[in-house]
Amino acid sequence: MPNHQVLDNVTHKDLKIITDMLPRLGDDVSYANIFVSEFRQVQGVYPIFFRKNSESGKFEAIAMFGFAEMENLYLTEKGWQGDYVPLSIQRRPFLIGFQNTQVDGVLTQEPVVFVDMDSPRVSEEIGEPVFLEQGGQSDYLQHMTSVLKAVNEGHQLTDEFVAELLSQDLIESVSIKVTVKDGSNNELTGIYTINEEKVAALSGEDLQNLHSKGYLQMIHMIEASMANLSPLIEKKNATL
Amino acid sequence: MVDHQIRKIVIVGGGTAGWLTAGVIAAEHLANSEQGISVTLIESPDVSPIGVGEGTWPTMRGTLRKMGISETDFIRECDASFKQGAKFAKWVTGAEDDAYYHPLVLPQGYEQINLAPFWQEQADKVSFADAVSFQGHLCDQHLAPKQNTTPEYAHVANYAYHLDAGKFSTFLTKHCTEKLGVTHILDHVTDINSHDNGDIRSINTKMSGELEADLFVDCTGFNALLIGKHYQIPFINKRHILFNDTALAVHVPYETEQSPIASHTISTGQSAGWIWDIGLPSRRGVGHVFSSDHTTVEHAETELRDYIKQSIGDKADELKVRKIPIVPGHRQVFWHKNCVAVGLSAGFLEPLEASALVLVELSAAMISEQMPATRSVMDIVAKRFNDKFLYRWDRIIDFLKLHYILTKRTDTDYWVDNCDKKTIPEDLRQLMELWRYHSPWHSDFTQIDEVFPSASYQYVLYGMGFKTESAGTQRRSLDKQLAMENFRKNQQLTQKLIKGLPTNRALINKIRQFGLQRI
Repeated sequence: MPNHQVLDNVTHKDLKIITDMLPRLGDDVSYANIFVSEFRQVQGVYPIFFRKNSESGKFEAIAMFGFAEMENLYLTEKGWQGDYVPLSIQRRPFLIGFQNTQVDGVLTQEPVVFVDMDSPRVSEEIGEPVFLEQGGQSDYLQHMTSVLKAVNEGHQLTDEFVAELLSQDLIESVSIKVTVKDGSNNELTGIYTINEEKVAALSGEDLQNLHSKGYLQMIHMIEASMANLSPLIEKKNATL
Repeated sequence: MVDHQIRKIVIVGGGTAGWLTAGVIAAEHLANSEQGISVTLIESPDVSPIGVGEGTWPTMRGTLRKMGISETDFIRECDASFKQGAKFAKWVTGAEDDAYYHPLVLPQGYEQINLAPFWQEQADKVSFADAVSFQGHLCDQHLAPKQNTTPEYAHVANYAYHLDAGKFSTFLTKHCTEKLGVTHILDHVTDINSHDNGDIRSINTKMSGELEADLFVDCTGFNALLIGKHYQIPFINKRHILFNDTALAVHVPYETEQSPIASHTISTGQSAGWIWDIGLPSRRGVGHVFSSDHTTVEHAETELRDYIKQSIGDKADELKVRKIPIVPGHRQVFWHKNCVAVGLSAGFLEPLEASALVLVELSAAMISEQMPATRSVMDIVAKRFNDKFLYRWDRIIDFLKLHYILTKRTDTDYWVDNCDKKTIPEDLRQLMELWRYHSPWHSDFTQIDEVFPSASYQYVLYGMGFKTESAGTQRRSLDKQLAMENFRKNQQLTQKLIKGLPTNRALINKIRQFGLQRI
């Protein structure tokens, strides 16, 4: 169970974070949420799909790392072997939450940084220090704060993008069956992708609308990211 | 009169019947475009709809989808929940543990194999419903028929709805007028004007003038303003078969906001009728439908309150009970001249098996599909419609009566009288003879779109302990190995679904918060 605490420089003055990427540190995940702001980097490395959040049933964009639960083909004992690590992975063990605070008598929701103290990354001996000796933020924490900010903004922008795709009926369910070297079948279910035929059939006006919001580019990046499926299968074959 | 095109339809009466008919026709016939058929619904501003009929069939999913309704909106705005069938308690012996399910899923492998004869060999170990379907177990645990990642209208386990009929009418009104181009008039009908050939030419209204149309749909409920009062089409009373003539209905609050929502209709036999119990997200709808020849209203009300006390205690005494008279039966014809009756104006039997709303859906669908292009073909369509629906009413009457004739209860005259041969329709008597030696199967019925499939007869017959004797000779289709495979498959599915499905309450809360996806 996660143990989320609001980060502060008194309680957590000696906190260090292990930044290695290893299976035992919880990086053995077969996919991660991604945000539109990082589509450009992601599409060069991983296949991009959509899946439904098990809690809310709502669509989220994901980068795919493997074909089975807890299979991350980009992760070895030497660390993460992909050129880009998605923000939702980078942020660990921090996350952003909101606290109600009074500002000039008005109740507002302030973003607050939480840390999961039960994360295997948490340490006092090894890793990156979070706070400086005098209590100031380390460069590491400043970087993590910017990651969290991007995650926070990313959620909303990505939700808007997905909502637009759904309203134009551009997402479709897809079932991908991958047969690997040993003859076994790996079937990916519960994933969704862009309906390329529907995109191709859009009217000039609809295309212009998608383009003006920057969504057309995102759509093309998702389509292009499918080229990363073959290297992923190769990686799977290499493990057999 | 010269032949003319059918361009304008006036539906008289709102309520679920009026609005469902309006929506089905308007969606198919593009009422919101110049090239379509114009649909107007006129309802009286101060006649309140009966508002019973809180249970639907799985067909409602298709009906709503065709009308372009989002299931999320429907569930949120109509106080709707999921229904996976019905549980009949105290219909066989009247004992506390006397109950069986009529689930909505077909028996496992139903297209391939009839499992009933194989189940009979182990009938003492497992109920028919549990042997051939997983749905009774889902109902026992108040589980939902799908997950929140399942798209709108799609299912893991086949389902229908329980809904608030009043809210449903309001919801349909908004959808029909805002999205489907239905014109809505709130006014009183004062006169009906005829053509020389007896067709209705127009109706006069108190404030909105004269409304002409090519086809009139009578959705005026028990009033039957057009089909009854105007055309004097005889009403065929069926009370000699189905005795119930009075209903007492009441809204029952849940104990807490988190009380489970039953995902099936619970029908519990009483001394001279039965009690329905329908779980909506915000309340239960409970009612006692009974035969006033066999009990008094006072006694029926006592039985109703006693039933409710089992769940909410003495608060049951404070609830307001509404009395609804029922004349079980239907019109001799439903489509006469250029007027067709849909809903209570066409007829009503009793709430058992939720046959009221499905008849509205089936009527609206047939009117819409077979919409006559011109007046001259209307009489042909009308005849086909009448033939089809007379057949359907008869099959529904047979199926409802089936629930009563297999009882072993002799504690009151009501149950004894129900088993009297004189009260059982000839068709049903013949089917019962037939089923002494073979289980109900696809070809026992004549139409491809039967209202109740043979599977429904199986669930009721074997749920109530009916025995079909073996013919004594072997058949190739009696493939024991295939039967055992299907029984095993059903057991596996049962385990899997019990683990994987949320509760009805949890899923409805999720839908209220996040909605369901269309795909």
